[in-house]
Amino acid sequence: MQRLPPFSYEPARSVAEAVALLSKYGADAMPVSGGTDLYANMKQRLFAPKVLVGLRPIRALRFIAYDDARGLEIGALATVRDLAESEIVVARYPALARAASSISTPQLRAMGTVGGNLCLDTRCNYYNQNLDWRAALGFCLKNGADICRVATGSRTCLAVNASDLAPVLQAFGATVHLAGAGGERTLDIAQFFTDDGRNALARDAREILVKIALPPAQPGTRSAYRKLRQRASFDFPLLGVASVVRLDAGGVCRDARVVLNALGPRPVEALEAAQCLIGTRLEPEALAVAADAAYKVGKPMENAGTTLAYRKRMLRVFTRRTLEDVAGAGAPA
Amino acid sequence: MTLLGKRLARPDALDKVTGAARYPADIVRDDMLRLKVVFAQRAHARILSIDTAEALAVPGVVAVLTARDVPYNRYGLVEEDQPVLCDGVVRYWGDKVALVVAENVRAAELGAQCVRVAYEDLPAVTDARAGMARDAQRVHAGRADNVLKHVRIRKGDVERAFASAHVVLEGEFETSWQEHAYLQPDAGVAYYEDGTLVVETAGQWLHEDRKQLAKMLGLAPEEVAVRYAKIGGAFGGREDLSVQTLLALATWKLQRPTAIVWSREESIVGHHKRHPFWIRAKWGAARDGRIVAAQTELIADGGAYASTSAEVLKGATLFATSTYEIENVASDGYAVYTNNVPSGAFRGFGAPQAHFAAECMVTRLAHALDLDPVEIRRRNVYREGSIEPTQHPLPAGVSAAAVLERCVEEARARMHYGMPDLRPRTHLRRGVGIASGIKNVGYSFGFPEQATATVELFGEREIERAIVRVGAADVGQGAHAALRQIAAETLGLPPHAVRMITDDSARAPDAGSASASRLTLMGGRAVKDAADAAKAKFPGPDAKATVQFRPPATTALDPQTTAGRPNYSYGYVSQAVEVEVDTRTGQIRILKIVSAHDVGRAIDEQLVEGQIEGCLAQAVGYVLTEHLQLRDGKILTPHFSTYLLPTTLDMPTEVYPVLLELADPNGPFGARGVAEMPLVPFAGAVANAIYAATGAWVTQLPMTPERVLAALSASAQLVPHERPRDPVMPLDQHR
Repeated sequence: MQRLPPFSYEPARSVAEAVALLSKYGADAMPVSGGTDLYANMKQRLFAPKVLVGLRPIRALRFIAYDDARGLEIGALATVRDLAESEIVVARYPALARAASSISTPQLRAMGTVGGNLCLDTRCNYYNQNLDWRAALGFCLKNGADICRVATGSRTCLAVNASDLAPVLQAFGATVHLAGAGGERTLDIAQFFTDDGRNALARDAREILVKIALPPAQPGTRSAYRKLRQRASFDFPLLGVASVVRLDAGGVCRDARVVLNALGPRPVEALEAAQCLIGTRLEPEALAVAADAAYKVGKPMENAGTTLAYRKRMLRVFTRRTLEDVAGAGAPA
Repeated sequence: MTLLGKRLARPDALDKVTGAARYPADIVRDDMLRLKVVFAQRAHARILSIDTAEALAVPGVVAVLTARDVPYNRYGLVEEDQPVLCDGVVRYWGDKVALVVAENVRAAELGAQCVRVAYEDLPAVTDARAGMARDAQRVHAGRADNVLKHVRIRKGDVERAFASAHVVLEGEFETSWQEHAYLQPDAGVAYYEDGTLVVETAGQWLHEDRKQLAKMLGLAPEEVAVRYAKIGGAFGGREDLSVQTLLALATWKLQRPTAIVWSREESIVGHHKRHPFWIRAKWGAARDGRIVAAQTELIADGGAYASTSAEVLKGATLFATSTYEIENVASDGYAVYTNNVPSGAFRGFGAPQAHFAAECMVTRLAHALDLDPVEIRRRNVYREGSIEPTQHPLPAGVSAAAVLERCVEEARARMHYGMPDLRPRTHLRRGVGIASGIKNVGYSFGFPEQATATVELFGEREIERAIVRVGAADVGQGAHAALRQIAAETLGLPPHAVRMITDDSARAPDAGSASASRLTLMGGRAVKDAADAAKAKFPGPDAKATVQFRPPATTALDPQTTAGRPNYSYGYVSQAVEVEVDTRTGQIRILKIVSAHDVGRAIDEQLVEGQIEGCLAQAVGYVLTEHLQLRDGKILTPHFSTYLLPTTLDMPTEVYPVLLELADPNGPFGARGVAEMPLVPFAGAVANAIYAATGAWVTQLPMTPERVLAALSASAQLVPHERPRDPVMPLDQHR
């Protein structure tokens, strides 16, 4: 059976204590909340931290709050299930609830946290394998070697961001709040991710994610999320498409965002696709043009389940369907 | 008759639900050593040297065993061609090279990393068809070629029949590996008890395991006892020995208890799979729908070792014509050695692959002849007295036609079958596919078949309780419950008054394997006959009887004429499957399944339905999601995160098991087997449903969305007579 490498567990009872522990142990430590991604990766020996700083006891970070002025605030330790079942989220940010309910299985949604899902380690066919497998093949960029197995010419790691929540949060214009030794800082979520799958988060190793904030839901806002998957449950997205639009009282699209994920280390905002929607009434023709635009910017690699060609082809289909969902033309399957 | 068909609480249910049941990985013995395998991790190579010094220096490592420690280093269920630990050559990625024995798991793991093996890589055979070439690299040196087995079946004259047929169609089909994916990992312990070497593990055949283990160590069978703990699934995957040899070897060598638990990856890499087949079929029919000839070539990737390839191949070749009586048959099956993972037994045993091709060909013929797909089946399906491809009549009790009719009836009641589809045409298309199947119950082609049971009765004037001894593996299917139900029914006892002794080769006689859907028929008949014999002696001082049941003999095929009697009993199945095809993504949703079976007699209806529903989940995985991928002999999908089993949400909410009870002449109370049957026609039923929905033929398993999309594109180029006139074929005109 697969066993965890040895480590010691240091529970933190407050944000300050967590930050202090992470500072104390430095590179030897990693934070853990639900552990649904971390422990599986440790069993595969993708990394073996000597110390895990447990965030679970910080009860104060498990909350979901809404205020018409401040918008939605999600504590990093709210579980994925909390998010999926939150009435306010279901009512005002439906794509977010839908993305949450599409994650993994009921058991893992009950354990996994929103912060953890945002901080998922990037994934790749050449990385998420056991030690023997990787050793037999020769390691890759993400594993200490100097070559990317997916694209041998690449100098950065192309492992994918497999979070279902990230593209939706980005489409909603979320900010993430990090706490470190020097206090809190806030980042636009787009800045929270980097272009290199090795260090895909702009989080310092001694910081923890404490909160995600979304602007208040404007009247006329609609949102949708779709994910390409190989079965109906228990898998990461092979492609995720999130869209948030705002229509004015006359039904004209005034604001739009389209974010693609599971293509590379960070979510990709399809700016041109969004532009194609603004000023339209989301007529089928406009959606088709926008889907074409999204198709052009999405560049999957041969590093996830199924093939590059299929994921690329599905980009247009899934963008179109997501846009049909926000246009109200498609069934919210 | 009070207990037959009753839905009784399973004797093992409570312990399994509460976690009290002990599976092989749960067993702990005092002072036990832990084992870790050093796998080859290359497809084909010569071993130049094995250096164990560094491993032996690891604190806690007690020994590193290699080929030279194995007294008789060849084993196999059919042919002894597999080394326990490799000697000189490794032939697949999961070949075992050395065994580290240590005081604890961590030391064993560390030790395994410190065994230094020097290899010289050899060219690898990774494609079965290429491997058949005369000049191909040999997987086993000294063999004339890589063809492990050729099975030839001839009946009539196909060439003459094709020449006069009204329509002749050809097709190519490809299937892939399937992993058994039993939940309980390969695991066990070994120890000595009163001088007997005991191996306590999970398997499918106590006495066969014992025989192979004893032979490996040069011991008499009585010096070894095999015991089964609770078994968490097998599906044919535990027919071949995996960890048992290692446990027996280490305990015998070191005279201490040993234990091993394989990880999921070790299991997926290390044990055999369902055979991938490449099948080319040519079928011809007369204008009236009579199928006049079928010619089939089947090539199976056998992997590195023989396992049960030869037997699987016989089944596949026999079932190349599914459940239809065809006057002219020519089938050639080849199993080929490659440097891929070995292929062997898996629920269905060659039948699902063969039926996939056959059931598609029959439907294609129907459309070419402008016939309803059910009608063509009706006109050709096996009846009592029909002649098999092996030129002899089928064993009595042929129920294929009845099963087909019942299935169609249910499909009309439960599905949009035989009704026009009035929904607006969108990118989502629905269709219903029908397919039939046949699969032997019990061993075939002259393989010795028997089951033995002992029944002992206790009581004053009336029988108060009984002890039943029958060495039969309950792999989770409920065999022990069913056998107890048969004994209780025969003796007129409540089930709890029957004590079952089933899991120890030293205490229960040999009932044969839990495979070939045979335990209810074979083990059940032995139990019933022994119970009847004991009852005849009651009351008396020795109301005890041991009975060996032997069914009518089967025969190997005559090498010249290919005639023979391959089987003594069959299960018959027909299925209707309704699918929805997303024509833009290629994704398939199974909406409804009707699975109709002649089970002879349901001993416990709930167990039978459980078998059908569970098997259908495995069938859905086989056809849609389970995609074992290999490159250069290496399994790229050794985890359940990449080898995708269907989840609850992938199963349709509407699954209808339909039971017919048309007695088998040999079965206890008429019971036949059912375990494998739902897998047999399922791929064909799904392919036929996709065709009904879209006009596209998907000819590769698994039917991944990409393959479906490719088929949809290709269908645009089909000749007109191959296109469905309407996605749903009306039936009424034929009734």
